[in-house]
Amino acid sequence: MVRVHAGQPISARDARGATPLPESFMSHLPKDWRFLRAGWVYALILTGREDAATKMVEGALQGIIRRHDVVSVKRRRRLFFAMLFREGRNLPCVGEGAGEPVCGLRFFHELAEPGRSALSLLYLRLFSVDELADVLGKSEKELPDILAGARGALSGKWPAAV
Amino acid sequence: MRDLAARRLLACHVDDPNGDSPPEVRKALAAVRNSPELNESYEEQVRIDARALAFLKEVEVPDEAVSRLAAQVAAIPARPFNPRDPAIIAVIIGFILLVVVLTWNFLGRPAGFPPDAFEIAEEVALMDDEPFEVVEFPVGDLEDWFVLKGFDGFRVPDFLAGMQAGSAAIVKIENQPVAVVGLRDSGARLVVFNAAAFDIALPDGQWTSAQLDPLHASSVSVERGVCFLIVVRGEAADVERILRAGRR
Repeated sequence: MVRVHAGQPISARDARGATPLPESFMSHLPKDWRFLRAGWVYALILTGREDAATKMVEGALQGIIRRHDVVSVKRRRRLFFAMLFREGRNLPCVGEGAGEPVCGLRFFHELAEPGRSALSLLYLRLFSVDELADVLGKSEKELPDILAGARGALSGKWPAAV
Repeated sequence: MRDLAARRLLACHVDDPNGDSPPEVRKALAAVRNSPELNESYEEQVRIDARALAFLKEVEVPDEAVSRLAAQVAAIPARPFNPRDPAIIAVIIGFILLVVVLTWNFLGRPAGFPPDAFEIAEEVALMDDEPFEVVEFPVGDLEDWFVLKGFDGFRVPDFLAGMQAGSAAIVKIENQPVAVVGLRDSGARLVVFNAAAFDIALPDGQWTSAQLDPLHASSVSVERGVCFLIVVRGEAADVERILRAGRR
């Protein structure tokens, strides 16, 4: 079940200088690993289920821990989200009646790839445009069209009253 | 900036009312404002983004998931030695530089020429004629002259004994007496002193030559605890020539 609470931004770090998260949101995790929270939200969008999201993040985390060649936090974060993307892009979409609903995130979850990941990661504000393209394995030139298409699809999904 | 290019750039941008936009985004926004059609399209994007962000803002990561992830992060073992770690790379580069500098310094010195002998030879090369007295003996006959002047243990290698001396002196270098003989024919100076007093150690009877500076060269040898230095105005080949002439 997705819990709802008011007024908290999403990302632990804003690549474009946006407002950072309050400290309470980032408790427990060391500074270098705070992106795991955003990773969990992204995994929830990919999987549509909380338990599957946690499992997916744990799996990617183990994969990152095994990579001793990845030293910098920036590269670690990029690799982590690329792992999530590769694992989650082909997962089947969880229908509304298939268990836990994902509330507003259902609209994200139902988007097609790579637009879904491009838009989700853009909103999570973790990466610059070139890094985002790198995570998705696309070129920077392709991103505007992918994002425009994803935005159009997203706005077409939600009802006017939402 | 062209309108269409500006619109494509803005497609990758999420408006943040609390944050400063980068300069290129501000330029793109200004360009898009000039086209009503593109401006309307961008306004629609801003509306979609605001609504989507509102959904995302409401997501709370369960405490249980955070705890599990935090536990995994806490259990990460200390980083093993990694040659690609920038800190390690910096240390390796520093070490290589140190080795290169030391090697360069070492190769710049005359190989096998004792540093103390080098300093004595430099001092003798720059010495003026003031302390010297005129002598008219072969170098091998100067032992008594030096004994009378207060220097014991003067002797020379056999092959140098026949050379004619023109002047001689006893000087103090680092408070140690040093016998200096001016060789009349070659203009070179022969220096004789106790090797142990200057910690000079060389294989017995072996001569080693070096260029002291662009004007002077020297050759050094130790025989039975006595050090011999030949200092000449010229190059190392000139010292070798004197040595060969003595052996003939």
